[in-house]
Amino acid sequence: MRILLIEDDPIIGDGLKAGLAALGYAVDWFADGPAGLAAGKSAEYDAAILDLSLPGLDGFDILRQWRGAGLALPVLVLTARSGLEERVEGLNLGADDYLGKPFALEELNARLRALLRRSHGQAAPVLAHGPVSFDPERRQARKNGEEIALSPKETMLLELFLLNKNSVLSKNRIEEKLYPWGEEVMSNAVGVHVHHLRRKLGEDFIKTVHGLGYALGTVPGPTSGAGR
Amino acid sequence: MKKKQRWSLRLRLSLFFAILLLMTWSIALVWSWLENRAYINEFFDTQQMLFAKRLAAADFGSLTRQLPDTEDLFPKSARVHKGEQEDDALGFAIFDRQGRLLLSDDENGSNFIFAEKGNGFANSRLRGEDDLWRIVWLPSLDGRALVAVGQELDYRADMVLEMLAGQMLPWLLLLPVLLICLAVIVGRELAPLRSVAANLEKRAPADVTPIETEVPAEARPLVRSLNNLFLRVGSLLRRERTFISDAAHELRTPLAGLSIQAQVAQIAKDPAARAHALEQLMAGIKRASRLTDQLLMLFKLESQQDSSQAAPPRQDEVDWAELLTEALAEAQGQVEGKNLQLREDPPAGPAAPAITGNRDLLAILLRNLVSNAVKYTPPGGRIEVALDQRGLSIANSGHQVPAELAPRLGERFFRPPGQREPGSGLGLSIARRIAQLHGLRLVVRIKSDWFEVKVLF
Repeated sequence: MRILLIEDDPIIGDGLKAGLAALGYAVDWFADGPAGLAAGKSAEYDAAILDLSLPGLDGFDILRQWRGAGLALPVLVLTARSGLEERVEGLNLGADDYLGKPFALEELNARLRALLRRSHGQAAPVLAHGPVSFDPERRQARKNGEEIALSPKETMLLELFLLNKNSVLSKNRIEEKLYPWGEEVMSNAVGVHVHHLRRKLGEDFIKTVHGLGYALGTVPGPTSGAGR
Repeated sequence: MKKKQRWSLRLRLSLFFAILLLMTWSIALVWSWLENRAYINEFFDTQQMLFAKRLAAADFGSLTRQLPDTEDLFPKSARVHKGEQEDDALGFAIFDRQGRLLLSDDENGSNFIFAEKGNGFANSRLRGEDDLWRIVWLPSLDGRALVAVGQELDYRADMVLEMLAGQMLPWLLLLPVLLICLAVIVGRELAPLRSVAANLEKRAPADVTPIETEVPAEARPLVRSLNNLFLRVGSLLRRERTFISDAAHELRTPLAGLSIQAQVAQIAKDPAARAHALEQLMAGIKRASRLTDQLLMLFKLESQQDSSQAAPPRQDEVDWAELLTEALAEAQGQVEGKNLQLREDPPAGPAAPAITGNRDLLAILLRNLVSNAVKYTPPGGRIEVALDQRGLSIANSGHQVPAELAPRLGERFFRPPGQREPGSGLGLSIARRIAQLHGLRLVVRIKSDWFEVKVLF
């Protein structure tokens, strides 16, 4: 899950980046409006956390421009202005949720999860594919009901595949989703993570689509489901 | 307290009125008594003289030595309509030239003491009595006898008093009615004031609606002043409310920072990550304390009256040059750290005048301006300071404030966008308020690359 964080306050920004990373998100943090606006347009994020009072460009302006450009990115607005008017204005401008400062990281996480679920058209909190299930909230993967230990990057990769069941994910796209800007990516990192996932969840769980990337393997049969 | 004062006005008015009334009545009484006495004297003197003249015209040759008692002289029938008389207050006597009593009313007249040279009115005592009598002496027409007609003076005095009492009694009886009426009227006239007082008493402390009660013209200035006071208190309350809401709002951001870093420290598995979070937490606490300090400072300054109304609390003779040197010395470390060029322009003309005011506050004013300049000048930039007779100017290069935002600088919590430096947006507000308290003006000017703050003397 790659999250765009636009927050001008150095301490809040730093804390959010660290906290969200610990919760299994890849976070790009921008401290000023114009850079955040451009980042939201250029890279593919799963959600954005947007502070309203920003230097250079107001959070509402960013939201307006994103929505004006047809960007459907789920946006959670974070603000010290918690007046009714601002909340209504924010939601009318296309914010998906609102959180007033100060807030608990847990609540932010829960709201973010809800946003992500909605944006992926998924109502149930647990993702499943064949014998494999994944609880994004607890960051917990199971195969046939048994817990499987995964590294943070493997977890992120699993989640990414489960959220994009019917599409082929290119190596680049996977890299983008797994690694925030500024983090060093080894040339074969994606291949290594896929290899590990196959070893832990079964060789057929992920199939290679030659020349394009990777996709989820076919489920053995309609009767075989998660937790059997 | 209010109740007591309210009653006392009414009571005092009634009391003053009663005293005044009694005084004027006393004067009127004395006057009236003198008038009545003169009238009574004139009246009875005339009567006595008339009586004496009648007696003096009589033929004394045929007089018996003594008349019988007049009480027995007339038949009872003649005395049915006797009126209200007190005949023992009147008496007469007729003497011959040698002082022998020829005739008298056989009661008081026989006790008259013969006055040989008597002619006209004279006051004297009767034989064997203490009371003074007024007696008119008149020689008879034939010159052989001397007629005396007298009246007891006490009788006259009693009559004067009776007349007075008759005149004054109704007034005296009406006095309580008068006083009660007065008290009622005063009470009724003071009712609007009581209603104002009741309004004030049950008023909520934050209620600043003006008093609408119609009051007498004399009390109108009081109500007007009260309403003016309410207006001022109202604006003060509004300012404080805005301030508190602003402050609470501004405290949310640092609190959110603290909260998030504390949570990160809690969930961090990596010791380095936890150490980093704790470090950030400390920085956040420092920032929040600085913000609260500044808020408190500004709050204290805001609650002080303007210089137009009251002087700042302390009155020191403060030398601008000295303050400036101190502020610059304090910033020296940062100036060198950022490799800034600091230039002090020599004064153009006479030196700056000393100012009377609160030295600590003025030092804060200068410190804020200097530290702002140092903070917002990029490394290697320039700061220029000038102090002369007209004002103090601190300018720095390389700022990032759009010129159109200059008027908004110094608004509480306002920070122009694009600030990388930490700050609360209160420093300039504090400086501006201190300047205001000392009757000085703070102007911000932005000219291309230069950002200048001027304190105008």
